[in-house]
Amino acid sequence: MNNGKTILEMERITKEFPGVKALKNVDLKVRAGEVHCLVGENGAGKSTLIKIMTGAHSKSSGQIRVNGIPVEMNGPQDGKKLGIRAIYQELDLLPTLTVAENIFVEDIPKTKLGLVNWSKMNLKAQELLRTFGVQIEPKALVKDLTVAEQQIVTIVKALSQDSKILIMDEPSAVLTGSELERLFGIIRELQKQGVGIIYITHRLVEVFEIGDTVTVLRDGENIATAKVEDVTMEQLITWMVGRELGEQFYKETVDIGDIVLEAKNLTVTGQVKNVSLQLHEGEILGIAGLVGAGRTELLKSIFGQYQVDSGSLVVFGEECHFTSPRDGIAKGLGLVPEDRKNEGAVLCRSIEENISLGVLVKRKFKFLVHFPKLFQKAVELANYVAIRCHSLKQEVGTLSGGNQQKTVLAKWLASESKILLLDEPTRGIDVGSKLEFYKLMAEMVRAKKSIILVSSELPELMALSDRILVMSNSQVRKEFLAGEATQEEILEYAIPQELKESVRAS
Amino acid sequence: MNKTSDVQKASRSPIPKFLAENSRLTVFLILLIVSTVLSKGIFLSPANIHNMLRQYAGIGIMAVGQTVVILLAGVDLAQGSMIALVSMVVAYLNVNGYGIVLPLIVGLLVGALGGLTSGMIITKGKVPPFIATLAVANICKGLATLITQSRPIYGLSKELLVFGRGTIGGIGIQVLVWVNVALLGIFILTRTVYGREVYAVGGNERTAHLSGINVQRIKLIGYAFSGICAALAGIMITSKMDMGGPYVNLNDNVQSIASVVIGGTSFAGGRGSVTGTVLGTLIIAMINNLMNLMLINPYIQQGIIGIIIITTVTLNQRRTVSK
Ligand SMILES: Nc1ncnc2c1ncn2[C@@H]1O[C@H](COP(=O)(O)OP(=O)(O)OP(=O)(O)O)[C@@H](O)[C@H]1O
Ligand SMILES: [Mg+2]
Repeated sequence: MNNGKTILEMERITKEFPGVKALKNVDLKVRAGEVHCLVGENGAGKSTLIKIMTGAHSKSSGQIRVNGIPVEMNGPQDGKKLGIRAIYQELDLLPTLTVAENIFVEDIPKTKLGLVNWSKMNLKAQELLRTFGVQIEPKALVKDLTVAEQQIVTIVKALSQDSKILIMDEPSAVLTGSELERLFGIIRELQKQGVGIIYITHRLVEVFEIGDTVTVLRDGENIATAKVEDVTMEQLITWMVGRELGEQFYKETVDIGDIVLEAKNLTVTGQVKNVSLQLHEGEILGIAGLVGAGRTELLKSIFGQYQVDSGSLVVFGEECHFTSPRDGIAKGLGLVPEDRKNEGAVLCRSIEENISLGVLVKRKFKFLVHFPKLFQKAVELANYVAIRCHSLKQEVGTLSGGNQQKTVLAKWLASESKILLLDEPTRGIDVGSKLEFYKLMAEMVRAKKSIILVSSELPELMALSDRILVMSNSQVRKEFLAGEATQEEILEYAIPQELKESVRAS
Repeated sequence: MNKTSDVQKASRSPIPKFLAENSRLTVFLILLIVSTVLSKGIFLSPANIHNMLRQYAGIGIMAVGQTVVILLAGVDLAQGSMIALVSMVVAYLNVNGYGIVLPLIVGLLVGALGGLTSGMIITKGKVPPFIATLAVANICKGLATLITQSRPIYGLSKELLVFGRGTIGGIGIQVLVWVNVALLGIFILTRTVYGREVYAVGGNERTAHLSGINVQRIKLIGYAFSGICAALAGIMITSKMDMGGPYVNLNDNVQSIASVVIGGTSFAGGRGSVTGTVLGTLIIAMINNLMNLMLINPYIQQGIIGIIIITTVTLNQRRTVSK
């Protein structure tokens, strides 16, 4: 596949933000029909590089050539004109418009009178969505979709226009399982049509599954570019983190204590059905399942974000009826939500302010804030989770995706929650930091905290959990002890019955 | 990474960088110089400056309350009508023999209550702030005219006039009240738990809620504070004019919002400060003062203020986007 001609060349690209050099003399070449993977630690400069490619950011110096011709880009429109399109890490959809409107926002189908041709637009949108094999209503409002569905809409939107280069920034941070398979199918299709694809990911297995070439960035520098068949996973990791990592997972055995949280027949209409579970002191309880299985909803109803319709919840021996997250937090719960931009962080405020929200919640300060004390804690925790930034006064919105996630984690560490509900906590975090995070989790359980971990990465879930509950269709289907089940067995219970039947029938 | 930033800081000379980063202060200084030159020094005379501050104290006070509301990603359009209502209530009670303490307390309570009403409609009814406060504005306007069938109330007691006309150590009491309200605003936003929570709620309401902040309470207090600020401004104006007027001072409301926006607080919420707002009010005051000194038609003056608002908002917008 690597014999297509070079369509994009970036030479000695440098990008400076106030106080930080995000890219230093980076070179990158993309050929037609090639899947070029871009990997690197959080904050290495991957997203910045592709934003320069599309014209969304201006470069400080360097040269970009498209088909051998030097180009200057002054905005994303310029990139689009050249056929360079991107599916960004942060979803750039218009939440209050419909799915169809979002897909065609740049080129709305019109009637002869110049009015919006709604029926044509919805029909075309439906066709495009169908090629992706998903059930999303074109007339639905984007804000009512799940994050995964929104990601699919952005992909469909990018596919609806012809492009010579298609960039995908961590699609697998949101998509899983069958959706990801379909995306790979589409990528192979585009490859055949001669589209150059840049694929950013933190799940290195994907590099070997879909990539032709791989480029590794570290601290804004191009460390290596190689053919995928010539490298190994270990080699990639070493290039990324600059040293050998050794283990991928980390787990300590600690004594499991008494029950700290017990749910009996917990039901939230349409979201969670009759879920019963027990969580012990020092335990990591894993929850497996596919997207839409109700795992996030379960965490949110335990936390107090959703109102429980029936069933009971006992926390530290006390029957609880949470009416808001506030109640849950007061009982010692903390939730790291799946959607960090909308629910986890306050993007327009600084790192230290975000982390210190966790301290404020604890009400150590009644009325006045003692800033040195408040931020002291934030500084400790920011160092602890190793946030990569040039100052803790930096706005969280300017951090790389993975470092935003670390900020959210630090907030709950600051609040000293005793029971942590982690919803896909390592999503979008690089391999090195993941390991750090696993160590953090071990430290937390050693300190007698308990964790409920939702993760779509089965290897991670299996390595870390003491027990695993498998959910599908809003219900718990099966419970496994650590080391008891294989990946296949877990999946067997995770796939909903109807789906299996429909697969068998077809 | 700290190293690179230090190197960069050191490599640039500090004064131009400071001015570039504090654009409002720069505008303020430029205006100061231009005004002084164009008015041949009259602008800088203590009498002129004192007059200007007195004239804008009411707007300055309102703007402090407005800052909190806009930081919460809202807006308070009821401030102007609140002035009218408070003016009527205070004057009515005063001329009917209730002295001054009671009318003042009732006036401030009316302000707080009006703000709370807006806050309730917004948080409980999920009505957008624009519409909720506009509705409350109409209610206030209606009540203000109802008290005397829209006739002004004259004959206030002498003690009441102190607030608008009296001085302490040569400085107008209104100006002192403005300074204190501004200091209070700065203190609340930078030093209290409530202030931290305002920034969090304004920046991302969902995250704030999920972090255990009582979003509704924060908003209610914010709108109540804005209402109290409007009530204070109403008391100052009543006292200055020596009458209770059921006039609806819409232009004051616009100027209070303009102060906040020119002061750099983001309409999207979560970003901004009272210090900026005070500078914003001073900038508006100076521009108006300058135009008065230059005998520019007042109607044209309003247009010019409008253009300035649009320009600053556009510039602010561009700055946040380019980040
Ligand atoms: N607008 C900005 N202002 C200041 N610094 C920024 C801005 N955008 C990015 N940066 C900084 O540039 C560096 C590179 O960020 P970038 O988003 O490109 O990382 P990334 O490789 O995509 O990481 P991740 O895998 O976590 O998404 C980081 O240190 C980040 O803090
Ligand atoms: Mg990124």
